[in-house]
Amino acid sequence: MMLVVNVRKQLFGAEGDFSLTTDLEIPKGGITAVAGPSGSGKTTFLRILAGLTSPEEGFLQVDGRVWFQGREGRRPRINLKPQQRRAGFVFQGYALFPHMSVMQNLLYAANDRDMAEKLMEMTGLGNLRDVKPAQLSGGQKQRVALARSLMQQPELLLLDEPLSALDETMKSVLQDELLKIHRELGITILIVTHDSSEIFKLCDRVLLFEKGRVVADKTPRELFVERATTQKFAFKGEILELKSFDAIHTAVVAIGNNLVEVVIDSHERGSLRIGDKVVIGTKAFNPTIRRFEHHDFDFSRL
Amino acid sequence: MNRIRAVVRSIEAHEALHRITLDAGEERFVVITLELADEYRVGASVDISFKSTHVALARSLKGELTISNRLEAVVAGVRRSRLLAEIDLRSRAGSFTSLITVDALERTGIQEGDRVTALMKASDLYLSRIREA
Repeated sequence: MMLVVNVRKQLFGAEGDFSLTTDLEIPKGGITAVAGPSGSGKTTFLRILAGLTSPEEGFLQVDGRVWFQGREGRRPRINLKPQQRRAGFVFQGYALFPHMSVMQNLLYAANDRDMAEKLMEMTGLGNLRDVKPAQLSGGQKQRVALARSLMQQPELLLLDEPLSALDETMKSVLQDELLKIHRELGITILIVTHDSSEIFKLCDRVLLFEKGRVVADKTPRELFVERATTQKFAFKGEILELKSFDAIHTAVVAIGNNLVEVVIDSHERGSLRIGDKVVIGTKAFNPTIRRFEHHDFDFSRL
Repeated sequence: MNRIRAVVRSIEAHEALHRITLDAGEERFVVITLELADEYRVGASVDISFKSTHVALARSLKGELTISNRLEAVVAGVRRSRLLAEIDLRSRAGSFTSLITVDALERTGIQEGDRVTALMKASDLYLSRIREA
């Protein structure tokens, strides 16, 4: 077992205080998604693993070595400092040293030129070694942050929404690179993300946090595809418009930034109101699929 | 959405595909679906749901049809509009509605009190688990 984490930490939320409580075991070598609404304790969970925040009590062991052990109200028996823990950390912000080149940023983490060369090669930074962060794009900066977090050859890589500031194309490229790094280094990764396609593409497990507790611990397929009904095609939306004509009724529903129109029956027409939160769905057999064409309206342009 | 309460009678799986037979009253239904959550097992109570637009109606049906679900029903009401008509139906499995064109209504001569056969394809029906309140 790679990671055993059994901790409790008091948190102060906008809707009252709650405690982050985990009782988890994560095997070596996987990529685990940490998901859930803002303020549910995801980032605190990662900070506890990295040693940037201490829990009130609990036990944390990574690959047979105890990183934290302590009881409430006492000084922890064991509490390794962040630099003693073999954990790499990448945040949404890049946190690079602006006055240092890419190479110097990597060497600051660990003075190991061979490792720096290998990681720059792996992340496609080879010809940017002497460039300062200000001249890099968002995707390149995040590659540097990722390479730097790997300089000390961590056992555990902690990623807090590392790709959420990037556009879709760059996001997809970095997801592929992350998979490549994971394959080559065999490192155990925890990644905070809200992006369902990212979870499906990268992760073998999802921990869904709600008010400090893990309310679902499943594979992405179990969480997203095997639903409570046999409808595979279901989206949460909000009713914007209801109309009646001839023998039918229609509802215009906003799903994310997309608008769709659905035919409903008279019973549904009677029970629905504008503004209602609804799920529109159909079976996996019914939707059709075709290539996007230039005359199709792309809601992501808005 | 039409809903008919039923009990799972059998499940046949082939890789991700499942064929489920269900009993509702004295009627038998067949549903085809992809991955099935564990809570759908033989003996489970479920709702079979389908849209009115997915129910075809036949009078004096003869000959062979590939459609898996046929339900004998009585026409309990006809609400005719200009292009479409909503037909209320009563069966041994429960009540439901069908939405058909006025052309089809005139061609078949369906009217209140008639005995008809309702036809639904196995891939047009979906299941939802009944949650205890």
